[in-house]
Amino acid sequence: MLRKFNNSRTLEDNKKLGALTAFSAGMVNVASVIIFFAFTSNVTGHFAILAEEIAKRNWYQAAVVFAWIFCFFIGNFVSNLVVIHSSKKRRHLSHAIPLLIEIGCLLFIGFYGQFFYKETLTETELMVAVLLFAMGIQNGLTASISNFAVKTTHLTGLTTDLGILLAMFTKKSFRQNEQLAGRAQLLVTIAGAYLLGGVFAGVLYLNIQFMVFIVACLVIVIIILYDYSKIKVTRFLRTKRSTISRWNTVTSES
Amino acid sequence: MKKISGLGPSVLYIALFTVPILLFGAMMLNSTSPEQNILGSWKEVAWEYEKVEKDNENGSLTSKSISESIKREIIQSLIIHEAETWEFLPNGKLRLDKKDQITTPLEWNLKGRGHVLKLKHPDDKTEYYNLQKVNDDEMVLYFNSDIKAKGIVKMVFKRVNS
Repeated sequence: MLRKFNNSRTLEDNKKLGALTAFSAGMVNVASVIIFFAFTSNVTGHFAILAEEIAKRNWYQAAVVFAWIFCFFIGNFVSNLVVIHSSKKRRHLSHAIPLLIEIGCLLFIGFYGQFFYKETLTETELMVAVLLFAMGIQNGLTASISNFAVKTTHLTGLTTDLGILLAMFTKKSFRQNEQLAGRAQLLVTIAGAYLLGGVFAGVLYLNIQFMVFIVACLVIVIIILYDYSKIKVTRFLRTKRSTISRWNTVTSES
Repeated sequence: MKKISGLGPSVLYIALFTVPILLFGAMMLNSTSPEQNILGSWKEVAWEYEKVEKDNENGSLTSKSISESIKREIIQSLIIHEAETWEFLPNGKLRLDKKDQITTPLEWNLKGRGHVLKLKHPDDKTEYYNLQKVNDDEMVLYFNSDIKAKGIVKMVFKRVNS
């Protein structure tokens, strides 16, 4: 899911990455709306709110929303900074680093919220900022490594694309286009996973409160471990194959 | 464009991060947190339906103001009861006073960007109000009511100088 880059990725790679990251994004967003009354996986609404607060001259609220949008931007910036400036040989690691930062953010929110959160406004604002940063990291990473095919927190664009695709599918020639059909499958997978993650978080929050962020974290851990295991298996098979071919050469020579 | 590209990427990147931070600082310095603004005593001065419902019979608009009987009916389902003065204390407690009769303090918090007021009763019952406006003189709260008319109720408060 994380190893392959841009055009070397298959539809299946994108589906797996999209489904898991969208599931965790849905969880984080719904949990933060329930707890903090603020969306954390998208910033379209925040732009509208920023404009509204500026118009009303509510400078404090405008500053807070501006900072939230900036945190999402920084998250996207940081994840791509790591990917772009990392070694091509250690691609899995460079793609995993942003996710490790995201895990750190979610762990912090989960544990701080569960054990130390006093529900002050400053705490709420800072925690929302951390979550927006984490979601920015995730969105930036998935978008760039999938050549902008997977945007797990950007459901406005996804719904737009889906609407366009379904309109296109009214023509037989487009319906038979495998690339377009695959794109539609990917979008439906992401939307479904996001929704499912949201519902799951909503139900889970009633029982485990802030620990819901730890569960969202585990989903990200699955992505990293899945890829790591694939690397191990590939290396093992490669080593085995080369050993067998060497053995065959030795036996044929003798 | 030539001038901008001539500045070099490092200058642009420094600006990219310092300008938003300075802007944020400037906005913060010129404002007060709603958590600070809300502190003190507030007297209820008006209850209104923010959404005016059409009268089905003659198509005219019904009055925005809420009668005392409807207000009492709405209040019965809320934890704020019939308070006249709301006193927000810095320790997160809210005292609801009515004619020298002081009720059990509630807990208050602000959520979101300071636009949601959460009130928690000692028996764990929780209510959320939309804090539409809070400044030195006036506070406006909204809440959804299903009683009598489905709509948004607007509560207006004036600051009590103590």
